[in-house]
Amino acid sequence: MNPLVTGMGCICAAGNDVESTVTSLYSGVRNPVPPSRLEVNLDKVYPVFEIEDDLDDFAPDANRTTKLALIAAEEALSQAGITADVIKNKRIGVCMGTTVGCTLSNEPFYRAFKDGSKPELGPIHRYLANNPAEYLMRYYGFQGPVATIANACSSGTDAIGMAKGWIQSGRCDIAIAGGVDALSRITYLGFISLLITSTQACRPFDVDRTGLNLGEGAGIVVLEHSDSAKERGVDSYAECAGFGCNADSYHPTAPHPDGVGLINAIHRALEEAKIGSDQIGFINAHGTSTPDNDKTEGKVIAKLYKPGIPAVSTKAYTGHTLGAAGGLEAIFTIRSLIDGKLPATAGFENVDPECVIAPTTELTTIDAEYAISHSLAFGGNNSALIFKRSRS
Amino acid sequence: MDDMKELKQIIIDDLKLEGMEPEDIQDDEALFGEGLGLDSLDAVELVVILQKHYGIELKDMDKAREVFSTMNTLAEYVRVNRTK
Amino acid sequence: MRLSILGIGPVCALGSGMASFEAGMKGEREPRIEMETVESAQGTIELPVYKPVVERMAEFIKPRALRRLDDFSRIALLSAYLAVEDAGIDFPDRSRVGIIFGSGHGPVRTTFRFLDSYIEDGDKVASPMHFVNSVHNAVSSQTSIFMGIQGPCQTISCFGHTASAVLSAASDWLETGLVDYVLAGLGDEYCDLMGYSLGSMKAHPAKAMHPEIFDKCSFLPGEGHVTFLLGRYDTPGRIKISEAHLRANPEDVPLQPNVILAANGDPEVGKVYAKLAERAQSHRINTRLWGGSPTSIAYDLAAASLNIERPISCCEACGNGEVNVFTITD
Repeated sequence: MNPLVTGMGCICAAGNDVESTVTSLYSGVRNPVPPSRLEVNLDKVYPVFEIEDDLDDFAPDANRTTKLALIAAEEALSQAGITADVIKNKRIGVCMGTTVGCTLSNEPFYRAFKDGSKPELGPIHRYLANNPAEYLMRYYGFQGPVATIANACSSGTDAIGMAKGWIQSGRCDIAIAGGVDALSRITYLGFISLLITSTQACRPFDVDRTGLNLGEGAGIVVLEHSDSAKERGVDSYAECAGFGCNADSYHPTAPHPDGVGLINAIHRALEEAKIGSDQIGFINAHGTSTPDNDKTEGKVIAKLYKPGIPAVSTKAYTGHTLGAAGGLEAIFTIRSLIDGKLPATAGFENVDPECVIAPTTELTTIDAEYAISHSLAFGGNNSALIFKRSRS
Repeated sequence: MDDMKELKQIIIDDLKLEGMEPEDIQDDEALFGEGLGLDSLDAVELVVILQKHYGIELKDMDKAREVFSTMNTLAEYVRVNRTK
Repeated sequence: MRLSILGIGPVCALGSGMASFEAGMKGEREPRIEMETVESAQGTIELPVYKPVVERMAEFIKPRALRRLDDFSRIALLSAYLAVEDAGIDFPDRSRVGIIFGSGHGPVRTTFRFLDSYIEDGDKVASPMHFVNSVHNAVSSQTSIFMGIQGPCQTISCFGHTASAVLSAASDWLETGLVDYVLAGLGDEYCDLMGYSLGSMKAHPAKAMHPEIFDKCSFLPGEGHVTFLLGRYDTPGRIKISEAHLRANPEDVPLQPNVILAANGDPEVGKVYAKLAERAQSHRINTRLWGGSPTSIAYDLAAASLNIERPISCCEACGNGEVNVFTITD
């Protein structure tokens, strides 16, 4: 039994909900800007894909990361028709991927501690109350399993994969799963220090790409056992048909040059979905626009799938949202399956022979039953999720 | 302490080359791959080391590859470009 | 949840490996407790902290190979090697081994070392090395790199739900045949900011832990890591986790007559443990041997493999007044 996707919700620089976001993607519009909330002392400006709203008036006990998760969860739950009654009567789990969302790292607090000014403990209590999955569990009163996945850039994909396992093993009937991250000085300065952040708008797979742009957001899907969906009389958008994750066992930051872990993860996901790679209709690539990632991923795509398979990097519109990326990209994959079109990869112009592949250059009509989303993470973790269309 | 020795000590300390002494690093030995065995993550840390200790900005990785080929090339680059 | 625990690698205040751990459980070794001087909001205080005794590292890994690893990763990696050694297994196929690590707080010292790098020397010189180590999944990925493991590799950080999520995932991976073995690690570390926070809370830190007194604050932080090498339920091993009741109500969760409680001197969760203690025929509390942390139940699971009467229930408060109960059998 494949769990069904019965709801989706998102927020990112491209839109405040699923509809407005995919509309931006399909129209090819994107808006990288200098970071407005991060004060930094650097010589160059590294643009980001940020969400305009400060979200100050919303959920005052939540930090920005948790607020983003709440916004996406609200939309996903409402789409899936999950009311207080359903929450009471079903076992609902919550599995969220993040990078900064579970980190004890409030900088102003730490600075005050460091300079001996003995700050009040408010930020500590806030940290203890804001673990993304645990926060959502408490906020809604979900009764099922809880996990926050902190597996770097594949966390969102991994969270959906883990939730799929929960439903298949009977741990819960329904699971809220995806990823969330807000922009932070930690990840911003960290990615810049690694020299993989670009001063221009990112250009996934382009021969002249110079790095990624960070972004922020949340993407959450509602996964549901088919029996539960049937009983509730709700339609599904897609089936979550396959998941795989495998380590490269190679290097702390660089992907394996031959994409060993990514290939293994894709094979595992195909095996779970019981399909061949030729049945995959398109790919939502990780496509960070860093030299190493795109080279490895492009080579794997060229080697594994049918020739000329359409591939898109939607990070061209959202930036790299780290823990949120897998959640957002799962939603874009499902919407493209349903809508029958794939966005252009904004910023891409010229093929890099080392990446082999050319991603989409215009809004592309597709007719696919299955699609896959890739995620590659620091430390050499690779994950892949396959969705099967269940409506059109 | 002479400049070369000081540079080697900084590299040993900041790249955590545990158990090594400046004398253990040959001036003409390759820093990356065979030789000292540094890798891409050490390279980005080296960029930060140059900035922090010598006020040198080196963000172009192609140029960095050239500069980081041996201790000799690195020391020469530091000698010419240091601002502190 | 159905798991066979084939090998255990504890690295904690009692020492590294099961022999030291068992000696500590028998009272033949005292835990290593160091005093940290903390400038708290209430003035200067001395905070006892349980620190891991890291032995035998050089038997598994050359010092030079460890150069980029922070303390958190080193201790976790050592515990993984010790778990494999304890099981006496040589993996025939390293693509069929999974890795899953969990931590309540993650590598906090390294996170602050990264902040230090730019607070002290400016945003332009933020250290990439510290950034890479501060990412929560550094531990699981370094383990995959050092041990040549190419199976699934996951990391969980969810306070009191960390251990249950790690073990549930491991159980799913094994039961569905995704892998043949799982290295499941749990651990936490201490940092100065944690000391400041504990020292600044209303109740003064205790001189010693008395977790058996449920309503008295005597929490002291403990640092360390335990890795379990897990196999499918029918594989012979040290002990089995035959079932788990997760997020259960302490008033009616099924309990064995004998229980181990992960009580840690925090009166907030002490209420939950008091309910369990009242219901059990007999209970034991071991936490004063390794100190408190969100993942300390891992040491209790290790203790349940030693010479005690089984079945036994290992219980941890997981937040919101709920408990996770793991039933340990032969």
